[in-house]
Amino acid sequence: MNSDKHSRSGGLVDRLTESLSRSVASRTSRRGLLGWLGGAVAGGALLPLLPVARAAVPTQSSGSIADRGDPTSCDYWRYCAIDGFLCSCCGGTANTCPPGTEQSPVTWIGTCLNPDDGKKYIISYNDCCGKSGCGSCMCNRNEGDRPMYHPSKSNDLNWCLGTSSAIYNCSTAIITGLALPET
Amino acid sequence: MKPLTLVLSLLALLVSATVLHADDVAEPMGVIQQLPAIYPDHWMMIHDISFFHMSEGEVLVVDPLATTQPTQYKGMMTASFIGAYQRGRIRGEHYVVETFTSRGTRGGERTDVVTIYDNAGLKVKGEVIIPAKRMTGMPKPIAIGMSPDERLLMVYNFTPAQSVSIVDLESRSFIAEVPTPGCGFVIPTGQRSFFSICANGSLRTTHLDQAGKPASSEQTDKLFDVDVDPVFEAFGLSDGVAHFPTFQGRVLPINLTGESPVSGEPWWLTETSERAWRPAGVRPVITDANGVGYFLMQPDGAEGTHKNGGSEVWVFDMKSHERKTRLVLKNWGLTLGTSGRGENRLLAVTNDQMKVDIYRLPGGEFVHTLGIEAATPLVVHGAH
Repeated sequence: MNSDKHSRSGGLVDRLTESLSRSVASRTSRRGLLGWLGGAVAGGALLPLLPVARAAVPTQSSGSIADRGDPTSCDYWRYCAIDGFLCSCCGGTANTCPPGTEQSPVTWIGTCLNPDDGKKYIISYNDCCGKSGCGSCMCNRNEGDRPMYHPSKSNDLNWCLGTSSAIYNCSTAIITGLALPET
Repeated sequence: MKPLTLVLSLLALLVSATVLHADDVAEPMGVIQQLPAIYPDHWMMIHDISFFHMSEGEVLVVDPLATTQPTQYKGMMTASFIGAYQRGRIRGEHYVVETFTSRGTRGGERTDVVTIYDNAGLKVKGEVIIPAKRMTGMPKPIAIGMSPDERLLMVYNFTPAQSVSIVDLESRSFIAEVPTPGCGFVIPTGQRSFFSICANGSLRTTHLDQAGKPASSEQTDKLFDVDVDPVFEAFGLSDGVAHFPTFQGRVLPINLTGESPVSGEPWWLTETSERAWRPAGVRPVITDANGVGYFLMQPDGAEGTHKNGGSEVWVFDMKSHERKTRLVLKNWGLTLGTSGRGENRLLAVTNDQMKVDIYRLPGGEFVHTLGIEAATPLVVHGAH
């Protein structure tokens, strides 16, 4: 085997942009808030917990948490399960949409570790819609990502749904809360 | 002859000679190339989802054994906004499910259609308007399915409500939309049924009547743990059994010969000592025309690496589950495709430079990298 050449692995989109150094995937299980809610609300049965519109989401600029890192880099801690163009490179920020776009009210969520405080946060990756693909800062990381038949954990879906346009522009990463400690 | 008459005669002769010469070199206009009505079975349809310009997606018709770009590139079809593609062998047609908006990339009114192309002319010979609900996202082969008699085409919808649109390809009409709450995709089973994969690890089967209208549905028990070891959204079909690889490297076999899917005992792609090797990629499994299975494998799989692709393709006898060989890829691979029959079986591997590498099967001899230009050729279909 040509192990030297192929010993590295990289995300699909890493190879498109050649701009991302590979992150260390979390090896912890995902039995945090998401798994508990999915079981309790849906009874572990058919319907998954779909992320729905969240009103009055606090923005990152509240300064309520330590939050170092470069929001224009795929390595930024919030982007552990992102897939798409970073809105912070497209006229928006990590948690706001570019001018003239429309934020999707439904999306997938991830659980990312903030290295500053060692806590895991629930991240809502709301897409910004209504303009063609931004094309800048394409990132794809897949911690906790699951196949598209489990929509709430899938970043492969076009989440420009419930918006006036299904055309995808970029993705945000909005903190919605702390993950419960794993049991 | 008087001098003036001679001059005029000579002039007329010269003009007529000039006109005749121009006619000899003039080329006909309006000539459109045609393809054969039946494609060589090694040809491929390469779906460029055009990720950075999604409305300009394409399906290219390619001869992967031709040696130059111009001879490889046979023609193209549009596949707007990450369309879905299905080969129609019985009628010699292509089916492309795509999305259009009245204001282009600005949005506007959305229209989803099944566009029907003919093999030879690659012209649009018809379209069927379906509910503007189809799932758009990374391309998965199970986002679209066709009944074995190729009469019914089934398209997965996600709004985020989940359903399947049924189209009659003979009458070219929309038949029905079938809700599949909590379950995604469409995998035909039997003659008039399909199943969808549910978020709790079970399968939901929908039975249709002969005309394609929904008749009944049923649910299996949970077959796998979606959080711990989910199945990929792709399978390799061999002798009527769909083999779904999982993130950690098992394979879940599902028998599709009856109207209800029947799951079999899962089996491992790896020995215990090899468990760091895992399948990965956009489409990490295919079977060739002989039913031999090929899995795209990465050497250091872990949580979050299931889309990375791999450095090797492992070849399996899908009946005995015996690994026959390991093919080391020339370039890191992202997704697999196949075409051809018998001695002409080919493997297509979209590599990490977004070029398509061609290998002979089953031995894995590298043929060449296709010269065609495509932005994101992430799905390869065979003409066989």
